[in-house]
Amino acid sequence: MSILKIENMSFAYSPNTRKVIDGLSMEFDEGKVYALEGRSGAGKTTLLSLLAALTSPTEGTITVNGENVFKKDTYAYRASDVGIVFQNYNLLPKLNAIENVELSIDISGREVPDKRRHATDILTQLGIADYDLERPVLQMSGGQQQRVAIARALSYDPPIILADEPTGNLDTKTEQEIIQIFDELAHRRNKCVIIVTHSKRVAQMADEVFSIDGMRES
Amino acid sequence: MYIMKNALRNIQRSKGRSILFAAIVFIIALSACLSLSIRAAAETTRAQGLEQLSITGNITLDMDEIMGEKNGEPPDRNEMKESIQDSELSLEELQKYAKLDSVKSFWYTGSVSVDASKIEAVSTSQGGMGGRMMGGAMGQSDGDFTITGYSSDEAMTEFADGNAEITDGVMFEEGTSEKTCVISSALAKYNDLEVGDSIKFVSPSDTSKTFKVKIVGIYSSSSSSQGDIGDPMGIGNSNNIYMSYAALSAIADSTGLDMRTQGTYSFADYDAYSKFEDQAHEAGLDSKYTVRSQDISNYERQLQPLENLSRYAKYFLIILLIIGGAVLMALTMFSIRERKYEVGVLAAIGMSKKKIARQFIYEIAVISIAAIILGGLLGSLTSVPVTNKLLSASAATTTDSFDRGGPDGGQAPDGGQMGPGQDQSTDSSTDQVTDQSSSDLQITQTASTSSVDGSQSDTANDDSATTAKTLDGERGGPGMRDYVDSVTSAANLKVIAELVLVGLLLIAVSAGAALSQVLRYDPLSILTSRD
Repeated sequence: MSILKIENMSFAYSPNTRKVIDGLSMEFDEGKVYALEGRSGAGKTTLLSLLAALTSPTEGTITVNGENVFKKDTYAYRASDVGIVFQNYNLLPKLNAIENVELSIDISGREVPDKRRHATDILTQLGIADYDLERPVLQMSGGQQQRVAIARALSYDPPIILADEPTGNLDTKTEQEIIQIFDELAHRRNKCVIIVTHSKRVAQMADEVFSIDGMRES
Repeated sequence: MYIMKNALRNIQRSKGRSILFAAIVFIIALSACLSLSIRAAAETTRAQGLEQLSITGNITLDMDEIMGEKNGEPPDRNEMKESIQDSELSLEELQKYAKLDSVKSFWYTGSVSVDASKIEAVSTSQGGMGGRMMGGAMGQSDGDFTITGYSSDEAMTEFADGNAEITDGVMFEEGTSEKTCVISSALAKYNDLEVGDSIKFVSPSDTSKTFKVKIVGIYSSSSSSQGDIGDPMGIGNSNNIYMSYAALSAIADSTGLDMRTQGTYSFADYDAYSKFEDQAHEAGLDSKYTVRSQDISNYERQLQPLENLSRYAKYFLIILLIIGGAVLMALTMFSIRERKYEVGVLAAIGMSKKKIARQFIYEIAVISIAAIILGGLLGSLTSVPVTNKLLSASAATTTDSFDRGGPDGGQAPDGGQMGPGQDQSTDSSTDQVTDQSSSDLQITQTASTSSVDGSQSDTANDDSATTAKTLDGERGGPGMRDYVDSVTSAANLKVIAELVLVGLLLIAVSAGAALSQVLRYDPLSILTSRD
């Protein structure tokens, strides 16, 4: 059974404008990486925002484990069901790497005996060196910040990871390392990873690639 | 729990912003504490002062009532004249109200104005005019001397308060009908009189009517009004002759002298005094009369600088809260606007906007509470010296205003005109008759027989909360210089409670601003606009 399902979903920014997404239906399973492709302005990021319940569809539904996301508490949904990785990382600049991750655990309400240890472990597993753990995140490189953002998304162990152009600002080597992380998350940790991307490397690694104009490739 | 922890961490992380906010709240709290303390000091001082004041009161004409100022329709002049002319209450009527339960004791005095056949009044002008200057009441034929008859020793407040004492001979017997009197040492020396001598007095209106009074004692008064307006040479009470009311009444009956009788009621406390007027009206006192206390008027006059300061403190507090609240609200809104991105990220990763707002409110509350405690502490510690400093300035300004004939002169502290019979003088306790400058009619039943000097000095010495100081030294004058110009306590539990309310108000204003700001933010708009 699909963990995440879109049924006949449409979206327009306002009632009088054209629909950015029109009658879209999709299903996402655990243990797979999905790449969402499309030209600029096609509505990829909008789709990801809908999946993250940051905005709601004009028509249709999104269900998680069979439950309509928009009938749930959308904050609680984002805090525990999905982990979001933004293109611009969106870390809290006054917090260091560990604090960013700890805060995310706090918001999720997940009981973790030693949050600091847990945050440190995740960050270390994602390649953050010990001496970077307590550095202000703004002093980190783009790749490091993206790893912190992924660590934050993983900190409360959500079944779904949503990533918006996660390698868009990274060099090739770092991109490859991040792709490797997503690959492991889906295939070793059984997460449903949905990535909006322009990257051919990401698309090659994905189990399924969706073109949001309705074309489906495998 | 994590919300509070996060709030505390944010306070530490954003030290500049926190310090700025705390400084503003601290200044508001300090100023509010001082303002509230000044008001508390005024209230406490007034209450304690009134509690310790020995209050006497008199029934006087209510000129506002007579002039129609209360019902808005002024009567014509004849009606007013009639009201004033028929205003004298008899001794029997005065005694009737003395039986009311609010009255602790009652005494009365009578006074006549006379001339003497063989002695001269102590005077600066030839022919003698001391009596005219000192005593003669309008409506009575003016003589050089004033003879005052007292119903009891209690009525002789000058002697009871220690402002006058017998230096030779004895005091006439209380309630005696014998024609015995005491005279001033100045009058005795001026006319070479001794104890045992008799003085022959003459009615100013009918020289055929005479009577003799024997001197049994000579007194010396320490409350001479040297330097007073109207008595520049300080002759004071030298031409006042004192005797028993019963004796003077008998003399007045036999000689046809016009004797004015005034009654003075003494009250156990301020509440009793407050009740007396209503009780008297219920007992039949006409509505054209009112009850006034020179003691209270004088005490309120003493409090005038403190009351002024208290009033200014109230206005200051109101302005402070309006401006302070607006500044805090603006600062909070700017601060949260600066943190818009933080709001967007927190909402995007699942923290509800209510929780985000709560975190900001915790931050505001923690900073505010700390600043209010510090401000309140400093305010409490400095409230007494600051209040006294401001009070000294206020007292000096009030004195200055009086000296220049400013609005304070001749007016009661509450802004109302002094009523007839409310002599401004604290030294005129034996000057039983007052007049109205524009009328040749006596318009009062009473006079200022108050024990102002005594009671007020008691207040100054005994009251733990206040001290009254004569700002104008020994000159004294019309008694307008005895202002309360220092307090010993200002902040109290009530001030702390009020400060807590002020703090809650400030927190509520800031919290409201934070809440409204956070709730209207859309995380997606924030994050996409940043992209």
